[in-house]
Amino acid sequence: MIDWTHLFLPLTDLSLLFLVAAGVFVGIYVGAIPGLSVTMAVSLLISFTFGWDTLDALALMIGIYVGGVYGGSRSAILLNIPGAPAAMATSFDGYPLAQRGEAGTAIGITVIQSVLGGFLGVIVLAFGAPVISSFALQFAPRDYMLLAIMGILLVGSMGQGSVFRGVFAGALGVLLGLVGMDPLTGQGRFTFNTTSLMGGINYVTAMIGLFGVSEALVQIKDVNMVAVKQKIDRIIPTWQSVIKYLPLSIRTSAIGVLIGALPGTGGDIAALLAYDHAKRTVKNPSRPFGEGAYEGLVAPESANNAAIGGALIPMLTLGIPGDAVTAIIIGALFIHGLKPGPMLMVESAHLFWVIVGSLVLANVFLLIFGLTGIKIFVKLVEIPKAILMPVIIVLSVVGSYSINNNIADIYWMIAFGIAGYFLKIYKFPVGPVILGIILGPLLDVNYRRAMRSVEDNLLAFVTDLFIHPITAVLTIAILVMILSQTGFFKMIAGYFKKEKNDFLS
Amino acid sequence: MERRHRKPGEMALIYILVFISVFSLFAAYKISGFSSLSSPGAFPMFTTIVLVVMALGVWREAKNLSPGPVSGMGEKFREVVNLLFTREVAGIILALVIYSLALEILTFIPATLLFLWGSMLFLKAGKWHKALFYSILNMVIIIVIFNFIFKVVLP
Repeated sequence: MIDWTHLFLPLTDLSLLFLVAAGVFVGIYVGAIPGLSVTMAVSLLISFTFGWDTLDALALMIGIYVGGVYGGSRSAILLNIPGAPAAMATSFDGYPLAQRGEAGTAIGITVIQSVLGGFLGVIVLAFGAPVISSFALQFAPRDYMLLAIMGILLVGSMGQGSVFRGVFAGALGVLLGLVGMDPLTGQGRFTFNTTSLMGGINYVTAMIGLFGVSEALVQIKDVNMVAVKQKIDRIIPTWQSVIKYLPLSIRTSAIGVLIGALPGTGGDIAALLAYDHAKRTVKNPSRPFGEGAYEGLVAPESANNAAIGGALIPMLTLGIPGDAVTAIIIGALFIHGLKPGPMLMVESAHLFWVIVGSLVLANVFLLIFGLTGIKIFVKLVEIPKAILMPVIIVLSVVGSYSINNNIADIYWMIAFGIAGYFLKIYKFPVGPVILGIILGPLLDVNYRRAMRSVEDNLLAFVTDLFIHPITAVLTIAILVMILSQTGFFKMIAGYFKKEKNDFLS
Repeated sequence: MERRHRKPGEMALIYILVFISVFSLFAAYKISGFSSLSSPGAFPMFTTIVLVVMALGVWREAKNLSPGPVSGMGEKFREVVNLLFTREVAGIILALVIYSLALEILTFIPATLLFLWGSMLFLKAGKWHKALFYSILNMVIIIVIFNFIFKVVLP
């Protein structure tokens, strides 16, 4: 049942309205400027909005999330530098369009498609999440454990680099998340008899270091890289073009929602899969893909914004992040004394509807801000890194200090920043590390609850993984994910492909 | 895109990660050994086993890449330093460490102003007065936003 009062609260409450608008506006520019990221901005915001009312903090973060996912496409189109990972696929056809003098058209298409995808994601969230939430009340601890494992495997295996590096990063994050006092017995783990480590590693500090400082250092390596300028005109697309691409937009938005709803995967993977889908299914694109095809913009842009609504589903209903940004938003909810999961929908259902309302409003503001202020944007993107990066570092210092007003957090942040820099240089992804830090304690507690429920009987534990319907589905999905990466599976797949080709010829 | 050769220092980092993984496995064992499958150390041990296996997988992948063109310890060390610690990166890391130590001695405003101005000059943002202007401008914006809007306690 829809709680209309709280659904419309972001529209009727002036402070929420303003914060959503401000968030979208800032998010677009944060997402657009290469070197800044939505994850960086939201992780800094957690500490800065610590003392705020929960709804105000969430409204701002939702706004930045929506604006930032779209914003990355602007620099992808104008500079061939995606401002966000979710905009990588946008640059394949966006930049060639800009080179043809159609940057304005490209920007217009990305705005409209982002808004359409965003609305579809919100609709699925609004109607799907309550259903999933009531269904999730049947989840046993072993199911949460399996979902968390799935999240880490997905984010580790579907990224850009090798699966080993991705899963290693995820496991490293899980390990870091286990440092400190065991929540069930009070025993110190990985503390090396140090009192300061008994409180564990502050994940906000780790996030700011891994996403803020490390990225600033990577950008400083290429501090003299000069952006290429583009001419902007003819932004607003025609109704005919919107209608023409609507079927593709709906299909790729659906892909975005589904991918976003999987734990650990978000807009970046959704955008790439959607682009791939468009290439396979669109028979007569406006131009060949990779040379400025409009369909090459429609697909990833609708998918990555639809993934936002999708990513919020597991976050709110299961307490499991759908992507790195929702992992950080979970951290924000914890800080404000809330526990995401099926009980959130029961105990704090108003929060869910305020989030849905904020998302709807954010997409409306995206339409307004996305189609305006392009000239300001061009100026901002031209800010030299030599000025921008030191400011980012200062913001990271302020952010990490503000969590506990403890100078030691700044040192931890620097350590994570330098470690994250090394990992990035050697092609280890850092997203899985953050996911692992958030999911580690959840995995540990649920594993031990599941094991204790069968009185430490390993055979009974393994049997349980296959005899309960929900658990069996999750177990099989994880096994398929693991086996699909092995040579044995690839050999079997190759055999079946050969058989099919022989049959068809 | 497949990489054709290892980056300078890559194997050294991987060996360090393998060492950290194995060390973590021992540390996990020390929590509660093999006492029970639901003990505080059980899941940490599982995690560190995965860490070791993945680290070995990374090692094997990197071993199969061709080494870079450079040979000789001295040359290799120089290549690693050139890759990781360009002048700009090394300078900013040093400045950041000094800045964090200076926060307690000088307090936030002077330490931050010096860091911003020094970093911008070092990264060649422009002449000294232009860098000073941007430093002061950003300082004012940070104080206004964080002291008055976010009400955050500054270091």
